[in-house]
Amino acid sequence: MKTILNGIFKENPVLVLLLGLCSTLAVTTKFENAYLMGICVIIVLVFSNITVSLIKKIVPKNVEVPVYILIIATFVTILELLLEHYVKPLYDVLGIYLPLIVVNCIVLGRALSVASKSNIRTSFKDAIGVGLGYTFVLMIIALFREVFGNNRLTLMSSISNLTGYKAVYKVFEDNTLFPMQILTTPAGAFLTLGLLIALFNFIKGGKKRESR
Amino acid sequence: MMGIRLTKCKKQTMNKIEEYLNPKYVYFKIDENEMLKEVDDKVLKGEKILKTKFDTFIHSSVSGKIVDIVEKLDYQNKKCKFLKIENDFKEKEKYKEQDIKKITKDEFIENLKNNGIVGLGGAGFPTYIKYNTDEAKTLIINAVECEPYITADYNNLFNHTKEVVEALKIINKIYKLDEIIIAIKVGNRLLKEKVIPFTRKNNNIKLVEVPNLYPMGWEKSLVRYIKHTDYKKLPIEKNIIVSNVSTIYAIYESLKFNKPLIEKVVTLSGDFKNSTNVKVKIGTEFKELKEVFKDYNNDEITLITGGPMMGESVSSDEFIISNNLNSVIALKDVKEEDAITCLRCGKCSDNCPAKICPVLVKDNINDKDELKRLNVGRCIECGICSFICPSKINLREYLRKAKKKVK
Amino acid sequence: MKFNILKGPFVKSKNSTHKIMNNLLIALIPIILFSFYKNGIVLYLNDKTDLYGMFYPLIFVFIGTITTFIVETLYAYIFLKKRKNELINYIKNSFSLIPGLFVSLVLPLNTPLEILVFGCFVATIIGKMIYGGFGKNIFNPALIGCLFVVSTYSSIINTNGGYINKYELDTIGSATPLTNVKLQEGIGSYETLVEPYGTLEDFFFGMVPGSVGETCSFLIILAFFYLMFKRVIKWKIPVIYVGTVFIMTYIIGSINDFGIWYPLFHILSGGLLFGAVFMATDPVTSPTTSVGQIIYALFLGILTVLFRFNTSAPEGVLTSILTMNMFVMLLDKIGSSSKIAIDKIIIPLLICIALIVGISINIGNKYNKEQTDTNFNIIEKTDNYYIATQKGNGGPIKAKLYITNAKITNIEILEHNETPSYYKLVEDSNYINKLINNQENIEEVDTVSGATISSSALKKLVNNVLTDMER
Repeated sequence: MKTILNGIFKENPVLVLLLGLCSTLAVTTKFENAYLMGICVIIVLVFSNITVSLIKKIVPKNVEVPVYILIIATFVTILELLLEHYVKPLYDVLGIYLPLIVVNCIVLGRALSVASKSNIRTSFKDAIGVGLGYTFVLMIIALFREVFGNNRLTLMSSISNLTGYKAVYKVFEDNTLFPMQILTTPAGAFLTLGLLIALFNFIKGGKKRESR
Repeated sequence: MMGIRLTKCKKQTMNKIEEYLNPKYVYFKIDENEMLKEVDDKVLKGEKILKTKFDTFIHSSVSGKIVDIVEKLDYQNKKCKFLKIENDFKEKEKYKEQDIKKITKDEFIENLKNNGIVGLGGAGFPTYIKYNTDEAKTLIINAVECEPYITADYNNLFNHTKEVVEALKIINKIYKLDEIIIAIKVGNRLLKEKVIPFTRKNNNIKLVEVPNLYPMGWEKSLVRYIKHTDYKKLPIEKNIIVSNVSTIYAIYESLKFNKPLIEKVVTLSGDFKNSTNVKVKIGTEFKELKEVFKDYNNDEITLITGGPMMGESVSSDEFIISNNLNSVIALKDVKEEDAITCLRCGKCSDNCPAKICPVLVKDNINDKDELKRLNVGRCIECGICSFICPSKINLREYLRKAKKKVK
Repeated sequence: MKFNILKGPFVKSKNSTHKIMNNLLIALIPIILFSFYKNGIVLYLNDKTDLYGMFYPLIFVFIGTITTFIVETLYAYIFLKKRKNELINYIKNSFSLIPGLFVSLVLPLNTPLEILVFGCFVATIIGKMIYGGFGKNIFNPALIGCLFVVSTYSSIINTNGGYINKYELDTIGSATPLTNVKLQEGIGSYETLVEPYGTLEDFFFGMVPGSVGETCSFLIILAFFYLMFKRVIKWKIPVIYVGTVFIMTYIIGSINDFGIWYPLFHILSGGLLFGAVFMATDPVTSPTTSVGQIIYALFLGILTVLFRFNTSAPEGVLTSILTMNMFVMLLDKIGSSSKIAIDKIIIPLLICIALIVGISINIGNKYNKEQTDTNFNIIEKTDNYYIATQKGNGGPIKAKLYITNAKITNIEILEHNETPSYYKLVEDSNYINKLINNQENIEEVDTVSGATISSSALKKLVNNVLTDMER
């Protein structure tokens, strides 16, 4: 449990380690894209961490990185092919960011720093923790950006053919201040991410002071 | 860029001069000097008692007996070991008048070295080293005295103009100079009328008036303004010697009477009950001068030595007047103002006479390479940056810290 | 007897940061009052608004100013955890009124109040506080707030009226002078750029549409001299900035045979004077060294002219100041090393001069060429006829136009490559005779529907020949 919480708060990949920012900024235009991307990353993280942890003893140190990337690429390709066949709308919506999970620094980073040095159980828990941390952050940013930038909340739309359930809500009445178009642009994405990191550091800093 | 305007505050002491030549005790700093006399030795007025590392001498300013080695405050507020000499008020002298019409350069240098003449502008550099050159073509006499309150040099030049000019004529003959320039501040009508007659008789001596800006009395500023040229370390690179006018008067007394450096004029100004210039024996304790300045105007006072811009405050009035102290100023309402965030207005960089950017030094105070690039070694600690900062940041302290780091 | 130990220097100067900011506010008061007159009193006297509307400009400025003050105080209380005495001390030394004041002076008067408050909020938080507060920000906070508002809410502001107040809507029209420049085809002329708003004196005294601070050039210049007299402004920046823009627009104008009115128009319109005197000289975000300020101002001028002529946005001042704010540290480095070795300034200066000359000649030529339609060519010209070509749909259309008494009397098409079916439509509708009969108001002749390009080409041909005849 402690490892999982560690991945969400103390070593949150986006807010603390500042990894995987590219996909964070691009995918968070819609709330639904955010949590679906998070789920994909969790799946890839879990499988790659377990596999790396299994073979860590037989991989020589100097070919570590290519071997791990090979493993990650394998799992991402499997995921991609499965999604393309079974959930085509999701595959279309995630677009280029699905194969980019291969070079998402979170996956490779955790493989190198945690999975290659710990047993399967720890690696698994770490993968879940870090993945959940990533997903939560993405969900918060996407919530903010979509509600205030587009006046809309998409809980499930592109995979509705699979689940048979569609949920798109309008949040509040249009007024002069909201929606703010700038939040849907990359500029707004950077701003939101930056302010969220600042807020997170402020809260964490506050906790540090109180514990003294 | 030439400087800033400061209120002169000189009217209090402009034409006043008193004497206090009977101190009970005099003190001389030992420091790195070689002692030529021991405790309990008798000394005569003008006798050599210490030898400095520059091979020049420090002389006793009174006749009497060396009683002890004590710890006293020097004028820069540091506790040091001093030789304490008790005055027997007999004033037995050791020097007399001599003919100086014909003197060679070597004799001149030897005389300066023997009589311990140092620069009386505040730096205290041995004068014989400065004049030990063959390449001098111009001599600039610094009578500008750009700091507020101080009028010691003005007094010396005003009261002893004939003697100063006589010394200049001798120096001119020895060094075969092209020109001698006396620099005074513009607006001093009385002083100008006093000096001009002497410049008309001898063509080599000129009077130049410099603007009323601080720090116009700095060597480099003077050379830049008068000769329109710049030098790296010493003015002799451009064949110029710059000397303070009080030093020239001391040279005159040294050549004519073979009198060593034992007296000087100090300005006491500010919140004293009686502000005046006073001629004292070198080594006098300042507290004894209470007879001259009577008392302070307030119970809480800040005593400043070395000038209000470049000097620092002392923690008591029992410090020793040495040969490079020109003024003691008392101020009663000095408050330390709180600094706020830097406004980045750039006034410090615009007005720095040494062409440094103090605001960038403050930003990079921890980066040694950057400080070297910013040339902090050129800082003369004139204090303009701290004076002019609207946010009341004491930039001079940053410059001092930076200079220590770069060394 | 107590002897205090303090650090020198012991002579104190009378200037302080508070005095500098107070002088700035004093310099702004006439400008605010003028805007009160132009956007409030004039409207009231012409029955365009009520008493509230008359005082609205003052209310607008007041709300903008007070918002930043409140936001910064709240930020200090919540995030910086300052209480009581510390808080009061902090407020005294943080000058939080200034960014809000400038935001309300730059944004158009028709901005809804909630957007103004939001813009001031962004200006304080994102423009100033995240960098560490007063004195530590890189970008001009007021401009950050304005940029945010202008890029997000410009459509709402425009539907509300934009920069035009209700009186000007009736008398002048619906475009500010610089938006008007963008509406021109090519570079415009005195009649199209200046005359809709009056004469150049109207620009100078400020009776043209614009935001609260930027219209009255006369009062801004007075404010500049007041601030320079009090020595609280970095005077090199506005002088060189405006001078560079003047020189560049003068070159552009003279390539196109315009007089001195053209550079004067560019200087007096838009927020150039206001931005140069108040926003570019913001002490915190501009270089501290003299040489750094000179290069800063040169590049500001270059960027403003580039943005005004080459982009779709009408204003260049806001983005150019924000862009140059990024380079202030580098400029200070150049400035400090050129104090010691003066030759370090040569290369940046040469680059600036090259850019100034090159860009203005390039823009001038670009507009000069556009005025003469490249698709139109005169092959032969006599007193009785013109032979000319105009690019149509399939290639050049060559025609002979007969002239009598400075009027076109007949047009004979010599060759064309238009699609036959389209050209037949043109012939059937007797378009050429229509052009000849209506050559006085050639602009109002409609093109033939179904054969737009071909008929438009013929219309342009006749128009270009008529223009050439007038010269």
